[in-house]
Amino acid sequence: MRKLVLIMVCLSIALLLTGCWDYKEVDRLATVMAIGVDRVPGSEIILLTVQIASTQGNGSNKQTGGQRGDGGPAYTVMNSEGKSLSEAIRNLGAQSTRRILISHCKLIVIGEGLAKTGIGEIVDDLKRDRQFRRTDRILTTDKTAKEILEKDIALEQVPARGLDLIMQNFETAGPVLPVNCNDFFVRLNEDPHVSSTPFAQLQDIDKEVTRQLEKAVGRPLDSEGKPKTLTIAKTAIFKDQRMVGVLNEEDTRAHRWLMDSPKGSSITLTYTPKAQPNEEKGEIQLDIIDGKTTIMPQISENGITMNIDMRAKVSLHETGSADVNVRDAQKIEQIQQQAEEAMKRQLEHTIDTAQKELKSDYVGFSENLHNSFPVDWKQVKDQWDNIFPTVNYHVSCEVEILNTSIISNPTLRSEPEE
Amino acid sequence: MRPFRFGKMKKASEPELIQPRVAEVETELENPKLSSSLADNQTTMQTIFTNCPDFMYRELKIGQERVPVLLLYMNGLTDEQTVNGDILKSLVNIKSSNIIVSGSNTIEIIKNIFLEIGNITEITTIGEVEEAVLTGSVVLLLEGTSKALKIGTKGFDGRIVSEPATEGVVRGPREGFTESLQKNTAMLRRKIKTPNLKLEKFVLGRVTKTEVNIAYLDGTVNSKVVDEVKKRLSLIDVDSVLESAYIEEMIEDEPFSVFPQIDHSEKPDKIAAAIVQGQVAIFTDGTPFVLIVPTMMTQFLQSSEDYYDRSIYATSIRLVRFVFLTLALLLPALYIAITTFHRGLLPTSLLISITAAREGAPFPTVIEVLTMEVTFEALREAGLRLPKPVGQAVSIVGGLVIGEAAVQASMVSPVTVIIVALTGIASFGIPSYSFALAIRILRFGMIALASTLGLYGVLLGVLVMSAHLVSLRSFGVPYMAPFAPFNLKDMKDSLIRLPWWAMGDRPRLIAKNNNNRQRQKFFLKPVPPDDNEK
Repeated sequence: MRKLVLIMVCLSIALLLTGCWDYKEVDRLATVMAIGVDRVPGSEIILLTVQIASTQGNGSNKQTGGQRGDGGPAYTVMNSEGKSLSEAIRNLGAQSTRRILISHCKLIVIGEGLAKTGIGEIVDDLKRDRQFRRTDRILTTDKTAKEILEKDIALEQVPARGLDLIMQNFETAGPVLPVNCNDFFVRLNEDPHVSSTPFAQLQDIDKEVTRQLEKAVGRPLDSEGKPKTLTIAKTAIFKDQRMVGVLNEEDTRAHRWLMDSPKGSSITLTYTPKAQPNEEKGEIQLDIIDGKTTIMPQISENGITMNIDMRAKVSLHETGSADVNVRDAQKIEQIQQQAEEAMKRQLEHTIDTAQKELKSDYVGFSENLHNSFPVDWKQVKDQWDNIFPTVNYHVSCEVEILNTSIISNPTLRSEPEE
Repeated sequence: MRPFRFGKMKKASEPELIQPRVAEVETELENPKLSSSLADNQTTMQTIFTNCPDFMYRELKIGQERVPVLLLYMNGLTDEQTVNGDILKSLVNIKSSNIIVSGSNTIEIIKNIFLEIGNITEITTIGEVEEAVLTGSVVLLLEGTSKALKIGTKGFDGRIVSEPATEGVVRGPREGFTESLQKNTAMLRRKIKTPNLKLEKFVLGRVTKTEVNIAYLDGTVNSKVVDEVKKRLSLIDVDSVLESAYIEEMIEDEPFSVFPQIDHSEKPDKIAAAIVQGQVAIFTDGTPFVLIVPTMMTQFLQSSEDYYDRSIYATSIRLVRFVFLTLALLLPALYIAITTFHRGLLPTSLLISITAAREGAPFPTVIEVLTMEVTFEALREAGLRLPKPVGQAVSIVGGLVIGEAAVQASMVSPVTVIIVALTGIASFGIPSYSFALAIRILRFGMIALASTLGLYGVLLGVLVMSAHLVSLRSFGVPYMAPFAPFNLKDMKDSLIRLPWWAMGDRPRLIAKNNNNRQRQKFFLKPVPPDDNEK
């Protein structure tokens, strides 16, 4: 009998400790794939755009250009507004027949207006709302988030998924360093309060290509003209919850070299032969197979010096029109040297931009100083914004060409007769 | 019901041997001796067997003295040829011999000299005569003695040895037990040729008088288990024992548990293997199903074929069975819990597919799954009981109704059909039918928990189930052995099966306290001869 009572007590405790009841059928939910947040500068109102995966049509998954087999679109975009992000999400419920499920949201798009006026408020909500995951990726755009989320992405039914896949690819290789909420928040919180996100742009690539081709063939092209394409090739720099600037493609690449590893990116350099000045110049492309960038701070009476050392193992991907006999060790040596110089120039340019132009330490100087000299860091921490532009640095690069594919000589050139 | 055992874990109750209550001991009080008058005996027997037209008696006078003799037997239970050919012939032959067949030793003379039958015993009471007649012997009564001869002529047509329908194998012996106890024990004897194989006889059932034999290997078996089996069997007092399940239910340790605690088989090779590793087999007359005690849970997930395939295959198949077990128990529950409570656990594209599939479904997921599960169980049951051709028709119609029409009519979502079908297949992957039944019952409990408490409920259910499982004992052996209590040496034949040359010892918990634990003297790993060595 006592045992029975004990079992009952145990079971009832187990049942009383269950927490919130959260039963909901999946077909009564609206799965949010991405949210976009905009704000008109000067206004208090947050404009929210959500992209919701549409599941109508009994699961037939045949798609035709972003459309399900039965003709309905694979996604729906909904908008709402509110004084804060959470209010805007709440207001969304007023127009949705289904409960808004955000836990599957993969992407948070920040419009330029909001980025420039300050993202502190929405960061707070993103951190507190348990439905937002810290692994969600963040993207900033030069347009409004609404425009980005309404854009179809080629080959994908739901654009948010496409954007997420692009970012996933960037994790291993790509020009831009993808950033998830966690990285973003941590960097914004930590001392230089500088963080970055990929920067998306809508570009009319199709129009540009058509224009050039028309010029070349001398007649109007029989082309329908496609809508603008979304490209992610730049980096937005945030400082103290505000976007302070955007890095161009080259600086973005160097930024990734500095913050992460050079692996997976590529360098295009214009090869100028030194020995025989009459040889043709050419664009040479090198793919970085493996590499490492180390930033070693050094403290002396002259102040702080950063020694940046970048090592890259590359494969020769393309020699273009340059007459390069890759069996010639000297030539390889020359290419390596020129690549080193190009990389060094690039890194220096990026650091200069950070120091002089944006005055924000997105190149990781403070982080490395903190790690190597924690005590000294504490002393300079408060004035880092003033110190950073004056920090000396020294860049050294080392490039090693590992392979040149099986082809030794440019294909379209005949070997000189001996 | 004791789902838990609190406090110190109770050891299996030390089996104490109670003197078995043999049926004869009790009946002796009201069991009169045979009278020396043949006429008296005849009337007694005739009154006992009133309204039994199959009861036969034949009077004849034997020898030159024409001593009256009465033969009693049951028509159909005895071998007609033996009765006519051997018994009657030899009795008639007495006349032509010179031996005098009267007086006190007549019965010995008949028994020792004339009857050309091997199996003859002397009996003295009416009860014995009755029993002998009912079990298919011929009883010979003689004028002037209060003794009778029981002549073993048992012989009725039984089923021939055939392949068991419930335990098919790809490789391995195909013979199965029959309904005849004698045939069954003989089949066992053919496999274990040692006098150490002991068979002990019990007669259970006041009306059916069913013969039950326990078989064990003396010197290997744990004698405490044998004593406990004898004790539990001797306590059985029912009117009928028609199948081994009657015995199983009366001797199992935890009558209210859903889990079967006694394994059964109709394959002589499986029973022989169990006996050799120290288990006790309980044969029941009239059924091919032989019980094996003590039983551990892993036995239900092992098939005899595991030992006839190479160990690598056997191990991989066993691992698959454990996956099946988990699927059969938890798959519908997990489906409900994850889709209705924990959407965040699903990959996004899967969530979207499931949502799209459920679009327009009229019932909640729980009702959907429950309906489909019940339909599936009904179909299975219908297919099992109906004659084969009809059964096939039922399964075709059922498959179409479930798989196609229900989905077409948007009654259930296709995902639910997939889940139920997978669960059904998984439950057929468990070799033991009775264990699969237990899992099927628990599955419904898990579905209920999942639909009310989500994954937390499923976890709670698994927890309570595990607590119950580890508290179970079968004849003193922990049910979950060798996992709990953990025994590394016994793991060689549990989740995995090591090759025969690596299985040196018998399972510790079954063949307890004996010196005969070693199966083989040497480590017998095959070593091919080295060609380079000369």
